Amino acid sequence: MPPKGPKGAGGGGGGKRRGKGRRDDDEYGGYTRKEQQLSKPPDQEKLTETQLKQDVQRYLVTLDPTVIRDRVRWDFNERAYLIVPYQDETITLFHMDSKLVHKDHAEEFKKTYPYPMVPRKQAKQLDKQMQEAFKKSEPPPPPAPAAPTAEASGEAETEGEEKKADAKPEEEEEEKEETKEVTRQTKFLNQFDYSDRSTQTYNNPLREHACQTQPPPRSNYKDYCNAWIIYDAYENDVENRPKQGKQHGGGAELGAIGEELGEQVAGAAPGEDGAPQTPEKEKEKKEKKETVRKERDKEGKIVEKERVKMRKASVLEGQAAQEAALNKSAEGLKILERLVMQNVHHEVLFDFKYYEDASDEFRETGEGTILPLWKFAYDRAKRLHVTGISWSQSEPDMFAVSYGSFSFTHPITDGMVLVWSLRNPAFPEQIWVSPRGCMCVAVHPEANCLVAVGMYDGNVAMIQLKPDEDNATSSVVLKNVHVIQKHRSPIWSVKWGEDDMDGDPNFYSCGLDGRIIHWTIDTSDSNGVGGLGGTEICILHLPVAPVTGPDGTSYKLFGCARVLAFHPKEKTTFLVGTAEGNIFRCSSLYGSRFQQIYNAHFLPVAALEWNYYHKDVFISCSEDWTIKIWDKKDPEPMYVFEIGVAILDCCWAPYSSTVFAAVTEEGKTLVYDLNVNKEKPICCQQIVTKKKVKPHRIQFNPYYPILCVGDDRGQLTTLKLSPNLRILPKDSRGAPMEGDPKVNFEIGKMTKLLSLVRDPESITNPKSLARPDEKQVKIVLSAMGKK
Amino acid sequence: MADEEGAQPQAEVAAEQETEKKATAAYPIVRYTDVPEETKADIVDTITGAVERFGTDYDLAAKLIKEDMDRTYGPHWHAVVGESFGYEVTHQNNHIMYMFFLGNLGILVWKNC
Repeated sequence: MPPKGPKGAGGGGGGKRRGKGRRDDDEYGGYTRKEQQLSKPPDQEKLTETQLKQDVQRYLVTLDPTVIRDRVRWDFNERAYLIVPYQDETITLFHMDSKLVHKDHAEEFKKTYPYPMVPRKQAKQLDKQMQEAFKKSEPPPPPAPAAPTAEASGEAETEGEEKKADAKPEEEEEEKEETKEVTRQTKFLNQFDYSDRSTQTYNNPLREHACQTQPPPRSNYKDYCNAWIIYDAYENDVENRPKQGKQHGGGAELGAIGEELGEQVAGAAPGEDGAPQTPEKEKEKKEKKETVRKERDKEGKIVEKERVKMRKASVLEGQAAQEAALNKSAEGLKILERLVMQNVHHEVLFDFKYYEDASDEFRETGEGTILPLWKFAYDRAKRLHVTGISWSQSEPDMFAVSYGSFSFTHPITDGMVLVWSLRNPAFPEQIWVSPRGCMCVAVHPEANCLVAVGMYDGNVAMIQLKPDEDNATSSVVLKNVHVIQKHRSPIWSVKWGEDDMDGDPNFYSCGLDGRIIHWTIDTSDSNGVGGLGGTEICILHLPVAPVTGPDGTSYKLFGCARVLAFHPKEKTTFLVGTAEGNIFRCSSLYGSRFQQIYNAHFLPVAALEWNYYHKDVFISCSEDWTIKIWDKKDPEPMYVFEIGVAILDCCWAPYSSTVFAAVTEEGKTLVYDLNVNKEKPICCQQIVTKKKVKPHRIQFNPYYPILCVGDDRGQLTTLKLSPNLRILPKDSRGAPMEGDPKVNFEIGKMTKLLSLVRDPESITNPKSLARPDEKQVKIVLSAMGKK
Repeated sequence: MADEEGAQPQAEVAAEQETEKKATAAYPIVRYTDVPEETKADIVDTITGAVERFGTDYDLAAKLIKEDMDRTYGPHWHAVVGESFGYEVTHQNNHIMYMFFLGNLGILVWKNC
C-alpha cells in the first residue's frame, strides 16, 4: 500500500493548523474568537518539531504475525531437529462471495456469468459500448493515447464504463435470483433508473395440486316398502310386546321346557339301553322325576317372586327419579307460571298499579268507589266457605285463607288452607288439605312461614310453609298433642301472641266452649317431630248466677267465644266476643277475672278489632245489623251504625284511624270514613254477583290500598280503593306524612271524634241509639241454658 | 242360532282388536338401521317430528328430514318418505335408517356422497 502522506501524520500539529484555519474563517465573518488553549493529557509524549514532521508509515499486510514460520521438531529417526513445513492455520468460519465486481474484472465476470444482466435491448447497446470501450482501453491500444482527440473520447469511454459498472452489480443481483425463471421478463426501471429486488413484487405463479383420498366404507341395502310389509311389521311388534311385558312368567315356561327335555331324555334312555326295564327301576325313576319336578316348581316360584320384587323396586326407583326431576324443574316452571299470569292478567295488573278513579275529584260528599281486581278461586275449594283471611305482614302480596263451612246443619267435613299470592290468581302457592273444616287462620306477623289454623273439631295446627333444607318439598305441620287439653267445639279464632322469652312462637285460640287456650310448641312429643301443647288461660263465665241442673247440681254458664282480638301494643290485653253478644276484655296474665264486660250486641259478635292507631278504640259488628265503635274505658259504644242487614265482618284500615270496611249479608261492601261522614258509608258497593252468595270475610292489605273479600263459594275478590277512600294526612307543605307525625295526627283525629261524642251537647248521642236489649239477652241466655 | 249369536261377539272382538291396533300403530318401528345406538333415538325423533308436522305432505316432510339430518350429521343425506316403494341404495356404513311410522308410512334416510 502506498503511504498516504500528511493525512496519516499524528494529531497534535494538525490540530493546531486547523485551529488557525478556522480563525481565518472567523475573521472573514467579522467575528473574533479567543485563542484556544488545547488541553493535553499530562502523560502525552513531547515531540520536537522535526519529530512531529516525520512521516510514520503504517502498512496493512495479509500475513499473520502470530504464525510461527520456522517451527522445528525433534526427529528420532534422523536424530536431529527438522523444520516443520508451514501449514495454514486459518479456519474459515463463514464464507460469502461478494456481489461487487471490480470494474477491471467486469468483463471476465461477464464471461463466466451465463445470463444477461440487463434487458436485451439495453444489454446489446451496453455490449456494443463496452466492446468499443474495451477495444480502445484494452491493454495497450497504441494509437489511443497518442491522438490528441483521444482524450475526449477516453473520457467518454470511462464515463460509459462507470455507468455500466454502476448499473451492473444491481442487475446482477436481480438476475441471480431469477435464475430459475424460464421466461425472461423485461425489467421496468423507475424514474431514478434504479431497480431493486425490494421494489418489485414477486408473484407466485398458480400451481395445481391434487390428491385422491380413500372413500369411506360403503355398503348396499335394498328392501321394499308397501302397506303389507308395514302392516306385518306392526303386527309382529304388537305380538312381541306383550311377551316382553309378561317376562316374570318366563320362569315357569323355562321350567316347563326343562321338564319336556328331561322327559325326552328319560324316554330316550331305555331305548338306548335296549334292555327291558324292571318295574322297580321305573318306580324309582318316577319318584325321581316327581322330586325333580317339585324342586323345579319351587325354584320357579322363588324366581318369580324375586322378579316381582325387582319390578316393584324398579318402579319405585323410577318414581323417585321422576319426583327428583320434577323438583328440579319446579322452580323454572314457577317462574314461567308467573310470567304467563302476568301476561294473562296484564290489564288487571295495570289497574292495580295505576288506575285511579278520576271521578273522585268531582264528588262533593267525599265518596269513593272500589274496583274489583283479581278473583282467586281453587277448584277443590269451590263448595267450601271462606272462613278466614290473614294477610302476611311483611310480604305485601301473600295471604293465607282457610276454607271450611259455616252451615253447621249440613256440615262439610273437609277443609283446607291455601296460601295465595297476588302474583298468581290462578293457582295457590301452597295447599294444605285438612280432614276437618278449617275455621280460622292467622299468619305470624314476623315469620311468614308460620300459619296457625283452628279447625272445626277443636284441634289446632301450625303449618310451617318454608321448606326445610332436608325436607324440601312438603311443609311441616304441627298438631296439638293432647287429646284432653283442647277445645271441645269449633275454634272460631286464632291469633298470634308475642314470641316468648326463648323466641318461640305461640298463639291463642278461642272456641265455642268458652275457653281461651294458649298454644306453644311442645317438643316432648313421642314422634320426635314435636307438637303443640295447650294451656288454658281462662273460661268465659258469664256474669250470671249458676243454673241448677235437673239433678240439683249447679252449672256456671260460659260464653261461646266467637272472636278474639289482641291489643296491638299491650300484648297481654285481649278482647273476646261471644255468641251471646258480650265482649270480654281480659288479660292473659290472669284468667279468673275480666277487666271489663261489654254488653255489646244481642246477637253473636261477628268481628272485633282494635284500632291500629288509637290504643283505646276498637270496633265490633254483629248480625244484629249494627257496627259499633268503642272506647275501652266506656261500657257504652261511642258510635253505632245501623245498617239494616246482618254484618258478617268488619275491619279497620291500616292506613287511617277513622276508616273501616264491612261486608253485609246481602253481598255489599261498605267503607266508612268517620272523618268524612259519621252517618253514611262513603262507599257502598255490591261485590258478589249472585244473590245467594254471601261474603263472609274482609281484610285490608297492610301495604296496598286493597281489600280482600271472601265468600261462601270459596272465592276471593280483591278490590282496589279509589283515592277518596284512602286520603292520607298531609303536612303543611303538602307532602304525605310519615312515621310519628302521621301516627300522632291519626290519634288526634280519633280523639277529636271521640270528644265530639262525649260532649253531651253534640248532635249525635249514640247512647240512646241502640242499647243491647236486656230482654233479648235474657231470651238468648235462657235458650243457651236449656241446651 | 247359537252360532250366529256367538259369531257376532267374535266379530265385535275382532273389530275392537282392529281399532286397538290402529290406535297403537301410531308409534315408530325401526325396521333396519346400523347407526350407533346413541344417535338412533335422535334420528327417530327427527323423522317422527317432521312427519307429524306435515301430515300427508310427504314432500315437505322428506325435505325437512333431509335438511335436519344434513345440519346435524353432516351433508349428503337423502330421505324417502312414502307409502309404497322399493329401493336399492349405496350408503356409507353406519349411516342408514329404515323405519315405519303411523302404520302406513315407510321412511328411509341414508347418507352417501
